[in-house]
This record gives sequence, C-alpha cells and structure tokens, in this order.
Amino acid sequence: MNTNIKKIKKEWGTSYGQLVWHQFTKNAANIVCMWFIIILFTIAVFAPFIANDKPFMIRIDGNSYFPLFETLTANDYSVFLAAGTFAALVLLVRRNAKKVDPFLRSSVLAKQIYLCSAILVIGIILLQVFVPRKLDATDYKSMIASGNASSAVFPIVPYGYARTDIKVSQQKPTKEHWLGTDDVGSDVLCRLIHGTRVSLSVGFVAVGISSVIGIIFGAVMGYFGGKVDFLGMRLLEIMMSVPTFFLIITIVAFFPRSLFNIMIIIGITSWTGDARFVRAEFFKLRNQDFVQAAISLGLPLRSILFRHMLPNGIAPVLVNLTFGIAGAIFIESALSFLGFGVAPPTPSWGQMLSTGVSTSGQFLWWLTLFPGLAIFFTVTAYNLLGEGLRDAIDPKLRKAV
Amino acid sequence: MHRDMKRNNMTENNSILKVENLKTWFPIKKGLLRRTVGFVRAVDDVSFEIPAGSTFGLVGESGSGKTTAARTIARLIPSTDGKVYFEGKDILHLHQSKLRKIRKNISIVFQDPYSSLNPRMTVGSIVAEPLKIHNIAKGSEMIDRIAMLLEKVGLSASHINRYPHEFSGGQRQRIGIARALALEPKIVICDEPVSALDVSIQSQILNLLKDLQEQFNLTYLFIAHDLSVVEFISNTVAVMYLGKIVEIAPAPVLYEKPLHPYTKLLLSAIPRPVPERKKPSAQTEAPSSASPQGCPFLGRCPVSDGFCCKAIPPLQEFEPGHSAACFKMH
Repeated sequence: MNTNIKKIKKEWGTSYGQLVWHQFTKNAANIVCMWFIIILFTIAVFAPFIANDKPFMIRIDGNSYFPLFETLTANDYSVFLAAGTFAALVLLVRRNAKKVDPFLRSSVLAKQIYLCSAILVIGIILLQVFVPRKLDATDYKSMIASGNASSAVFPIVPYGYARTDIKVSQQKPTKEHWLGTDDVGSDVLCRLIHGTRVSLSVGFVAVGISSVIGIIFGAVMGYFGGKVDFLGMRLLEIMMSVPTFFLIITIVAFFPRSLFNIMIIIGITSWTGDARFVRAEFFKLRNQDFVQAAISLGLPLRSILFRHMLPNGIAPVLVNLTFGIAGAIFIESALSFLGFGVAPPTPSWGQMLSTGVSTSGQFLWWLTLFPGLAIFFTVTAYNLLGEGLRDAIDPKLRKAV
Repeated sequence: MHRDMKRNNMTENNSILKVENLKTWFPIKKGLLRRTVGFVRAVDDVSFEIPAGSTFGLVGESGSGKTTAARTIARLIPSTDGKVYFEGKDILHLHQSKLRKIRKNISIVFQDPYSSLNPRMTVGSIVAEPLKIHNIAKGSEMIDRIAMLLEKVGLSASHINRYPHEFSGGQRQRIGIARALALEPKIVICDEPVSALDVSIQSQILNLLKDLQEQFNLTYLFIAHDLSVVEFISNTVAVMYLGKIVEIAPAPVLYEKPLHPYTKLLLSAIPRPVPERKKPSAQTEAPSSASPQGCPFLGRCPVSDGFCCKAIPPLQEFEPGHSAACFKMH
C-alpha cells in the first residue's frame, strides 16, 4: 500500500491550472501588470507605515514611545489580517501543488479555504470589538522643532491623510510635498497612498459579491433551462435595463455614506454580465457527455454544478471579473468625484480628482493629474490582466500562438 | 455452447431490464407563441427485454434513435410514454431521491472519449467521486479500489493522478469504462463505445468489455452502428429504423437469416473480403421525413408495394425469438 502510494507520487500529471499559469507567465505584459497590482496591494496594506504623521519611534523626556503602532485602528489590523490570510492561502496553494496528491488536492484546498475564511471572519469581528479607538492629536513634528523630543523615526511620507494645514494649502509639488498639497493643506502623495485602499477594496469586494450572485444565478438558469431560465432571464433583463449608476446615486442618497454600502450596492447591481456568461457556458456544458455521465452516476446537484460544470465554464467569468474590478474602481471614482462616495477625510482617488477643480476657481493640475494617473494605470493593469488571462485560458488562441 | 444454454434458460425467467412501448418525442415549436406544431419521434414504441448477464445489441444508422433510447432508459432524457422496468421496478416515474439508488446500478459508457471525461479532474477523482457519493469506500481503501479498477481496465495504478488530456483515445475510453464500473453496476449501457476509436483499438476495447462481463457478471445494452461490432459481442440484436425496432433476433440468426429488407441492406454494407452477397438495389440515403401513415422504410424498400403505404407494419414473431416489422415476409 505504502509503496504503491510512493510509486504514484512520481507520476503526477500537469493540471489545467498549471497549464494556464505557464501560458499566462509567458507574456511579459502579464507579468508587469501582475507585479504592478501586487505592489499596489502592498502599498495599500502597509499604507499607515508608508505615509503617516506619527513617527515609528520617538524619545520624549528620555522615554521611548511608539506612537505609530499605538494609533493603528481596528481597520488597519483587519487589513493586515486579511492580507496575511491571503498570503498564507497563496503559499498553501503553492505548497499543495508540490506536496499534496492531486487526487486529494481539491478536498485539502477546500478545507484550507474554510479554515482561512473562518480565521478571517472571526479575527475581523474580534478586532473590531476589542481594539479601542485611539485618538492621538499630538503634533510630533512641532515637538521636535521645539526641542521637547528627539531621535524620531518618521515614515517616508511624514504626513497624515486627515491632517490639514492651511498655511501650506494649494502648493505645487515641492521637496517637502512631493506631489503637492490640496486646498486644505493635506499632502497629495499621502492621500494617494491611503486612497489605494479604498479603490482596491471596492474593486475586490464589489466584484466578489457580484460574481457570487452572478455565478449562482447563471448556473441555475443554464442548468435547468426551460421555465427557470425564462423567468430568470426576464428578471435579469429588468436588472440590466435599470440605469445602474443612477440607482447607485439614489441608494447612496438614502443610506449613510460609507465604503461598505458602496461596495454592496455596486456588487448587487453589476452581476448581470457574470450571470449571462455562466448561463451561456452552462447551456453548452449541459449536454456534454461528462456532465451527462455525472448525472447518470447519481451525483448530487451541488457536485454537478460546481465541481463538474463550473470549473469548465469559469473562464469567461474570470476574465469578466478582472474587467469588473476595473469597472468598480471607475464607479467608485465617479461616485466620489460627484460627492456621493466615501465621506471625507477618508481619501479616495475620485474624491481627490474633484478637489482639483471645485473650491478655487483655478485649475490645480497636480490635484487632478496624479489621482487620474493612478486610476488610469490601475484600470489598465486590470484590463490587461483580464486579456492575458483570456488568452491563456482560450485553447484556440493557444494553438495559434 | 454450454454458456449459451445457460443464458437461454435465464432469458425465460430473469430479465433485468424490460422496456415496454417506450416513446421519446421531441416537440417542434414554431411561431411567436412557441406552439407545438409536431413531434420528432426519436423513439417510437420500442419494446425489448434484456436477460441478466447477456448483451443486447441495438443497431441502426445515425438518427435512428439508438442513443436517445439509451439515454431515455438511463433517465437522462425525459420519456414521453412507456415503461422501463429495472428488476421489476418502473424507473421512469421514480422520484429523484429514489432514482439515485437505481442510478448506482445503471451506468453508461459514452461514445466520445474526448468529451466524456471532465478535463479538470484527475483520473483518480473521476473514478473516486461516485464511490464517495454513494458511500462505497473511503480513504486508503478507496485508493486501493481505484487502483484495482484501473488495472482491471488495462491501465496502471500510477495513472491515478494524471489528467484526461494526457491520455490517448483508447486509454480515455478505458477510463470511461473504469468510471462506469466503479459502482459495480448491474447493467452497463454502452453508447457506441468503440465508434470513435480506430480499428485496432476497437478490438482491444471490445475484448476488454467481454472480459469484464465475465468477471463482474454484467449485462450490456450495446449500441453501435457497425453490425460487425455488434455481431462479435451480442447475444440478441435489435435493428432500429427511424425510432422503431424493425427486427429483433438472436445474433447468429439475424446474421444468417435477416428478414427485414432494412436489415439486409445494413448487412450488405459490411465490408467483406469476398463479396458473396449482392447489393440489393435500394436507395441508401435516408428519407428526409417519414410519412406518418405507411411503413417508415417505404421510400427505400426494394420489396414494397401499394399495401405498405397504408399502415405501419407491426413487429411480428416469425420464429421463436425472431421478430420483424414487415408485411412482405409471408
């Protein structure tokens, strides 16, 4: 038995995922986009360490203090936890590909995902409940200037996103403020870095919600067909005919302006595309012999839909997903630009764009250019990533190249 | 000879699958309101019995309803009318939950080995999933069992972790057979299992099917459009034409003394090294639509006369176990 398994271990085949990954990494543009997004994520996760007006360490009256670490909020810790779990999951997937028998891989992976999401959910709840909200309005820079404190270690961008300073408002890029300041004297680079969090999390959570709804809806419509499909498609057409953007504006007007509400609203209004893709794929797969075989073996519906059909029909959805992330970032930017987005002082790229033209009569180019470029590059990177993924998945293109 | 005797005895008392007047019609819908304007009678009034442990061959040209009949019996396509008894139980009207237990006993080997295996699953998990779902085996016992199954169908246990795209057509068909046998079914529906393979592989797979039948005491419903393949493996052969069985007989009898003109036409199409039979002068193309009144074979029949267009010939028994649906046999 044991020798049997050892012998088997040498003969692991290449999975479809590995083939796609191989194909995906062949293209240099894909790698560049992937690294761009990974770096963006790193910036978003470690934003308080990169741009903060609290020093890492400071000596006041001979005692050492660590104000930056003390003022981290529950949200910061939640972001760290989420990033940590995600990184752990990526490492686990890589480990699985090397260590775990492909035969058991899917069940092992499912267990790992359940465990990680449980840790994440429980952790976030605990953090939100138990981490106290600390306000530290001490101006450490003036303390150093007045000689009360010494040997402070500040982050690279030593400004807080919420700190205003009318004396330096509307400054062009200078040595102190690399990307200039806005009309209330906040540092643009600092707000740009903290705004990354909003834009990326909006993209991911909104698309996560919409793809779950879309996939389940489309799978049921495509598998059952007939009356279910007819009713589902009419409901979907109603959803599609509603002007999403104005619906979001209306809903945002009723509910408090919070990032979470915006994510949910974008999520539950943009699932129609995914649903249509999945439905079309499932129609095609429904009559494939391997699905018929699964039915004839008496497998439960859950297994047929999500184990046999979905992995074979996920490709267009995956591509649509990356475009969806770009779209969600756009919607959030537009909402924030119009003043319906996240409430200040929380920064977001769209909101920063709007400050470039609103209050003062003149056009402050650095307030528009840098957030605009950030949105442009992020959306482009996601779109290119989506296209690269589509090319890697599509076997017809693979043969042609 | 002895085995044939035994099988003949079994025929009388022990039929594992009994199909009665099975009909599968597909509605033709037209117009804005999708009104049903007619039916495609893919399977029309088909009846037969399969004794346990034997092989029942179903032949006919493409479009004659063989595959539809098989899939209707396996409850993959809803039937219009008729009954299918599996071990005395009517399975066409069973509720989904009870059906699952029956499905364990009826499995299918599909025609196209390229589309019948899930490309995203390893061979091991393809075979393992039914075992898990039906609580037959777990853990290392399951791996042993899968290894045993793969070895039985002529693959090696080391293939467990390979993906279907790494195999040739013949090997894939073997995987399909292993999956079909995983649940230890009582009856296996072979839906043209060899027609997508090249000739040398065909004979290997047919021999494998025959060996497995002896080992596991399987019953086959064997569908093919190639009469020589069916001759090799079947005990009884039924010939289908446009949804109807036109002739049914024990295999040797059918090949020696075909009664129906369509069977004769089919037999003449088998390539022989010495063409001793002269080709009957019949049209070889299928008519585009069958008239509902007369004999469905009318347009191509070399022996038809005026009477044939008036009624559909019923299946009549001409000698024990040998029936044909033709008026011109007397």
